[in-house]
Formats: sequence, structure tokens, C-alpha cells
Amino acid sequence: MIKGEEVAKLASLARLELSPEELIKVGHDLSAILDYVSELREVGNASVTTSPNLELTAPGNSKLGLVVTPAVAPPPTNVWREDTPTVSEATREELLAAAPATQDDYFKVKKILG
Amino acid sequence: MVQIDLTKLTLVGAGESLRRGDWRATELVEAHLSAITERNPSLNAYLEVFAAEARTRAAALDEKKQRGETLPPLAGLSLAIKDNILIKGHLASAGSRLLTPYRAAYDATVIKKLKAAGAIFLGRTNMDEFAMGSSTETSAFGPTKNPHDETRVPGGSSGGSAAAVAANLALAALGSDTGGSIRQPAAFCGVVGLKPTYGAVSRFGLLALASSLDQIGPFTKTVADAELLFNAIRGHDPLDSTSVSFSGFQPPASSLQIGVPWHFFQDNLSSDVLNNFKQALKRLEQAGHIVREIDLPNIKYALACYYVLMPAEASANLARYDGLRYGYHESGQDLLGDYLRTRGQGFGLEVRRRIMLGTYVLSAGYYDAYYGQAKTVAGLIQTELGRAFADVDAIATPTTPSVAFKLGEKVADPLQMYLADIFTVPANIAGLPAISVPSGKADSGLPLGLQLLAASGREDILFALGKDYEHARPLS
Repeated sequence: MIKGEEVAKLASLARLELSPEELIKVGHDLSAILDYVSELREVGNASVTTSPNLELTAPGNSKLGLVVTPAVAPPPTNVWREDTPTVSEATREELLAAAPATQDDYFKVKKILG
Repeated sequence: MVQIDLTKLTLVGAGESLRRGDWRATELVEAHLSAITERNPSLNAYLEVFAAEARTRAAALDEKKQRGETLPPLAGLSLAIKDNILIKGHLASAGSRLLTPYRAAYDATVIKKLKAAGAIFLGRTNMDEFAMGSSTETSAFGPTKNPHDETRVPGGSSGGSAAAVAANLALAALGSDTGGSIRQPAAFCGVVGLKPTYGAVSRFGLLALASSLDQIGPFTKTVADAELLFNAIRGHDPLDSTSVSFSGFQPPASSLQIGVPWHFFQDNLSSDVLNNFKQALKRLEQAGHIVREIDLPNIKYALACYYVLMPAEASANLARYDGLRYGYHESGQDLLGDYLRTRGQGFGLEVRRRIMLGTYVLSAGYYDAYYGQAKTVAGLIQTELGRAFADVDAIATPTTPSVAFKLGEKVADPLQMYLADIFTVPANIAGLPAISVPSGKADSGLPLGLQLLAASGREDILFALGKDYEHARPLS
């Protein structure tokens, strides 16, 4: 299902080096996996309700009376915070110390442009 | 004086006896360090033992007690921590060469909470590389062995943590669960494993695999211990915007409805696993709960969903490992060469395979057919499970389709390995809490687990059922 050149292209897109043997093996594996996950196409044009569908229900055998239970997940709510800087637990020195190459307060890397 | 093996204690038991002064934290730590020295070389549960630090912490707590000061709630409790949870100053490798060496620059939120509570970290435990695996065989540092049978896997990806608790090399442990990585090894090793509700526990400081699926959770010897450790690590964290503090539920009734989707597994389980599961349900019925059949028509698609969504998210989350700012670095001819070689040599084959799978399903032309469709089906599964919980209080399945398999048995065929997660992934897809409780042994003598799922935020129902199961279990 997935051709050799496609596998090599994927590796390159993901910035991964694979040996020729690995490329062949992974190509076979990916074909088998993609074949398996293609069963998702069987699941027709199902409509997914994301709006809350609050129902008064007695969950299970509860003898504690009726409890409002969402029958489906409530819609996601966004989480906001103020855009104010705080002091990090990690210091600049600690973070730079982890890098293979630094210069002054910069990470040093090979040429990006040109 | 009777010599008690302090490594056989539970969290609750050890806590009580430390507070009473039956023994000191130092003794508890030393007992564990000895056990680790003896058993870890063959099990490979721990990648690194924090012996000096554990001793120092224990001594400090003992002095505090001597001075008559109140001890924090988890004082002296000796825990093992999975290698993908950051502890400031300690190495963290996520089982990978690519983070070798990397020293954590900050504490994960769960670690901060446990430190404040006085817990002691005995060391970091082995795992499948970047949490990708179900056997701990993809670790760059060798597999962990199952303490019940060292020719078999402990499960994964949190195999080291599961094995540590099962072999009494820690009172309890933390792991992470994206598709079953706490529950499956818990079942294979015969211990309790909990995956909390998505958002219940902060992921800040957990090296991410799939951000919409990951949760940190406890491995313990008893359900009461799981409840104790869960309560210590749960809660909204401003540093994790997906975290939520759940509250306001009515306590569970004394008799609960347990739904079983028999159609999902009864035709493809070996008879001893099926019988073990049926026995486990009988015990819950003895405790006064009601077992009913339920229908979950789309649940069989959860695994396929998972193996599209998880690799997609992993491909994005692992893009940061480029060797420029931390970890392993290999030099190429140019910057692109640096990336290719660093990631090519630093990542094992399973990791590279999953990143490529994720890259494929997210790429133009395939995005809708794979990722888009998987998202739609995941939504269906969430809705279906949500509706089930309007009808029952919990859902029960076997945790795994089999007992722990042999080392090397499934490494050649990734798809065979992925099928080990078939019963665990639905809870991650739907963001629901799920627990695995040891349910005795199969004919082979190897452990099995009973899995229970509950509605969002309802770990209390899992704990209630789990404890009832434990108390109903015959002594053996």
C-alpha cells in the first residue's frame, strides 16, 4: 500500500535517518498498520453530537435521588490566563548548560540560511 | 523482636507505622535499597537508584519527628518514578538514547506535590522508549523482566514501575498511561494501576507522547493506596491548561450497576482469561453490585483510532528532539544532516516508525481520510461511552487479552504488539478514568487484571468497586 519512495519521503519530512534495511522493514510495517486503521472508513457518515444533552437521570442504582448528569460530554470551554511573565524554576544558565554548543547566551547551530 | 519485612508494607500501613514510631523512615528506605540491590540486576526495573538522596531525605524526616514536629502526610513513603517524569537535577531519558544525557531543569508538578508531602523517591524506572510500547522492550537500556516470571515481559510502557511495585522494590510508583501504559503492566505484574480522568492530574513535567491522551497515575499494592497517591497528585495546575479539579459528586451508592460489553471480547479471549473475568464479576455481585450486559457498538474502533491519533500527536511532540538544545547530538554535514543523524541514531526503530506513521496521517492528501476520520470516530466513542454512564455506574472488561507474553515474542510484528492495548485504549480516547485491579492468576500461574471504567471525574466509583472486589477476594 505504501511505496518505497513514499517511505523515504516520510523519513525525510520527519527528519529521520533510516538504513536501507530499516526503510524496507518500516515500509512493510506501515502498510500493515495503515491497512488495519483503514477499518475506520467502515464507520459511516455518523453525526457526532457535541452539544450538552443534560438529562435528569438516576445514575445506576443510586438511592440518593436524581442527579443531573450530562449524557454526553459538555462542550469544551476555553481556559484563559493573563499574559504576565513569571520567574521560571529553570535558570538561563541551567538551560544553556544542557546544549551541545553555545555562544554567549545563544544556542549555536549550523548555518540555517544560504 | 520480630523482624518485619518493611518492603511488604502498603502506603497506608507504612504511613501509620511511621507516624506511630514503629520504625524510622531511614529503616524503610534501607530495606528498599537492599531489596533493590538484590533484585534489580536481574529485573532491570530501575535505571537509576537515588540512594544518597533517599537516605538524606529519610534522615531529615526522622530528625523532624525526633524534634516532635508534625510530619507531612506522605512522609517517608518510598516511591519509584517513571523515567519520563522530570525531577529537577536528575537524569531523565524517557528510556531513550536521544535524551542521554539530559538532566531535568525543573520538577514536574506531581513531583513538587509529592516532595511537599514528604515522599521519598528511590529512583527512576525503565520504560518503553518515549512511552511507545506495551512490553518495555523498546527501551534503549534493555527490557525489564516480569517479577512473576523473568522470561516474560512486565508489560509497557511503564514496565519498570509495575515491576518495582510487584517485586516490593518500592511501596508504590508513578507511571504514565496514553493507551494502557499503566493498566496493562499493572495487570501483567499483579498490581493495581490507575489511569486518572484526562485532566485530573497535571502533565506539566511529563515528557509528552500524545497530549490529548497522556495521564500520570499510580501503581500500588492496594486500591486504598491508589486512592491515597491519586489524591496527593491530583488537581488543577496553572501550568497545565488541560488540568481540572473535579468535585461535587454525590458519593457512590452501596449497590452499583456494572455494564459489561460482552460482544467486545467474549469470542476472542482464551477460556482461562474469560473465566478469570467472570469470577471477578461474581465477586462484585457477592458484594452487592449488579452486573448487566451493555452494547457499545463503536468501541471496537478505538484501537484503530488510537493508532492514528497517538502517532499523529507523537510526531508533533517529538519534533522538539533535534539535538540542538539538550540531549544527544550527532553531527552531519549541515543542519539538516544534524537533524537526520541525531534523530536517526538517537531514536529507536519503534519511535521512528510511529513518527513516520503520524507524519503520514497528517500529511496533505491523507489528513481527512485518516486523522479527520479518526477524530470523528473518537467523538462517536466518547458519546457512546458518555451515554453508557447515564445508564450504568461502571463498565468492566478484562484489562488485557492475555497474560504477560514472553520476551521477544511480539517484537517482530508491531501490529501484534499493538493489539495488547485493545481493552485499555477506549478509556484514553474518551478521557475517562480506568483502573486495573489484580484478579488472580490464569492457569499458567501468571497474573491477570480486572479493568473498570467510570464517568469523567468518578475515580471514587473505581475506588469503591476496587475495594469491594479486594475484600470479596478469597485468600490465596
